[in-house]
Amino acid sequence: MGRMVLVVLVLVTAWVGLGARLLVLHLGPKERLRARVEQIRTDVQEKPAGRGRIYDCHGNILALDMAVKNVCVDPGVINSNGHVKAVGMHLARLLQLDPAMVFTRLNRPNRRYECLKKFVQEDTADQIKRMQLKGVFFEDASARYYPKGSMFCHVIGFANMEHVGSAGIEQRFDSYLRGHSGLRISEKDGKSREVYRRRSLDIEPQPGVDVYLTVDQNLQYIVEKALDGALEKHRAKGAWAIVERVKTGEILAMASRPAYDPNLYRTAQPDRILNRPIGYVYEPGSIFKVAVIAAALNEGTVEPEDVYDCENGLWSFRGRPLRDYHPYGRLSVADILKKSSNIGAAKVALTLGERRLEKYLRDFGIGRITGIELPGEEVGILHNRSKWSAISISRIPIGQGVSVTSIQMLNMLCAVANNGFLMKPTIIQRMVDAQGRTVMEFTPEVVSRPIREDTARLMQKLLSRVTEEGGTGTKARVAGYTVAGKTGTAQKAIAGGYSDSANVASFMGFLPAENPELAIIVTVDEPQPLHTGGLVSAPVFREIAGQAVRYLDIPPAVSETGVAKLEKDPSSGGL
Amino acid sequence: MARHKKNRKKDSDGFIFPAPFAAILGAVAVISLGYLWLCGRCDSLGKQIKGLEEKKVEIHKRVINEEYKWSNMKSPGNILAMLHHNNLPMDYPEESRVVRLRYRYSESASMRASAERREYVQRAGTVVND
Repeated sequence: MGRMVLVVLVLVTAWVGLGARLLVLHLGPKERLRARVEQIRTDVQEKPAGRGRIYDCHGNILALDMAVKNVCVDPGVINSNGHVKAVGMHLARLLQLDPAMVFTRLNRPNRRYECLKKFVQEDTADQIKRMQLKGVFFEDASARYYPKGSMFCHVIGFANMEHVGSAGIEQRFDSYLRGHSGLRISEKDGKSREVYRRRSLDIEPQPGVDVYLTVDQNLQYIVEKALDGALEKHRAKGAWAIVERVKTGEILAMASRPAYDPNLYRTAQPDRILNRPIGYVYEPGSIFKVAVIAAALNEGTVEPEDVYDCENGLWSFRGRPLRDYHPYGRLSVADILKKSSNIGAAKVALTLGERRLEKYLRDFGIGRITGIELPGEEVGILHNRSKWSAISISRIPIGQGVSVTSIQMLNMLCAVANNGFLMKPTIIQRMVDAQGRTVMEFTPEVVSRPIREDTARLMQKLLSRVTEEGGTGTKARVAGYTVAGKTGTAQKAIAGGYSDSANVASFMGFLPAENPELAIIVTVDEPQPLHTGGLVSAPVFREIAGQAVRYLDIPPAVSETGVAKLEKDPSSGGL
Repeated sequence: MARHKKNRKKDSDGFIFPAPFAAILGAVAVISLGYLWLCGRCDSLGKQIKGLEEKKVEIHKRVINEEYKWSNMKSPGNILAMLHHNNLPMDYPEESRVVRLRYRYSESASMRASAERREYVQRAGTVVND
């Protein structure tokens, strides 16, 4: 009987206890409890938006987001199983890590989490998965990859670990490329799995816009290979080149050396990241004569046949000597350009006067950015006329006392080749959103018209003479084509004057001269031992231009009889 | 005294389950079972959808990986390396080996080019010095 009473008492107490707890739960501070339960059950997931891709003009992928894995380990589990050595050896081999570092991190039995390597590609992760190593697990991640490696590195730039564009197109169009994250609010079960039918909100992420560039990977390869060759051959500090379509201002290739791999941007030196075609300011030297002589011809202050005394290579202007690289006596304006006489160019500039000279230079875009869609473009230096010294008018025409970027010089040459129209250079073809709608499309944009059509046509003919026998740019000739261009060799400015040993060698030109399609500039920084634009940069120009016209199928000029002009190519031995 | 025995067969005053109530109960039972079935179906469909969502994500990742590899393989440097590896040296034809049937630089082409220039001039913002 007593035992029965005890059982009943226990049962009654238990029921009363449960009832009391039920009452407390129902009548007590519900809000706090409910909030806690909801917090535990609610599953809020941010759905990251993929960054837009970057393509070349033919749709080749230059940059994309890839799903990758972070390889993590649980040292506690690995140590308890006694598999440190085996797991460590496998992971070090597959992840290409220092075995000593791996073992150090595995030999921490008190830790439950170590991230061994971030951003491992799926293939490698799959290999590790197949080994079924206990204590090894993976975290999903996303990383930016550049399948072409160092190719296009200065144009594309890179996005950092936080997916923020930090150089090149990645930086300039970061807000377009980035996209908008999605959101999913749902509930999860006891095993922390999402319960699909409890999904209350599901906003899809909006991927970033895809950017199509005007550059062409095959042309870029041609340019980069030529620059690598030049860098090695001339032991130069740097080299860079741009290929531009004359009539539209589209950039078809832009390369700079030294380069870096954007997949490994963290190890790159700042010097390698600099996009020299737009970010390196230098005194251009004789390639600047193109602008001055075009201006004088446009103003009618000189004619191509006018003859100037080039003073046998040494002329004193306002008490300061001006020298020619080779001494010349009397030269016509046409020959001043062909032979690149400094004294002749200075005398031509004097006919213009400071006011008109400055006006034309500014019209040609000197001293202001071109507006190309890349970050880090330098303005260059063209002082106001009021700040010019007494001898500036004799030095600026030969490319001293003025600083430019290569893109400014090429754009100026394009204006001459394009019958006087200065186009805005562009590297963006179009931008397309995830639904395939075109967000932005490039259209050729005229910036100004510094010279008339007749002057431009005359300049095209005069510049063609530079690559003829006796000109400074004979090594830029391309078999079958007439090349117009200008050489430039500029001493580098140093404290208190100009260096005797450090030069910037340039060649800029366009072809076919009769109907210009392509304009190319090649600049080599501090080449050794050869240092002139005609010997260093012109051959690189020929290498690029020769392959570019064949790749782009640009026909040569055809004579009136309908027969293409053919010329013996000394380098190939063929026609 | 004989015991009066109740004839159950003739007893018509016993408890009769009301038919409407039974119908309601039946309906409730059917609805409940239907609800449970639908719940189960929703759960299984939800799991299926989630599985497919995950599969889609996985396939998308694989597509991206393959695109990456393909893009890498299509790099001009790699193509040339492969051509050399397979002893297939190739290059663009030289101008002297090209026969052009379409192109002829004629006056009409020149006039067409001039028309294009004029079109540029008409664009807003053009500065014309002549």
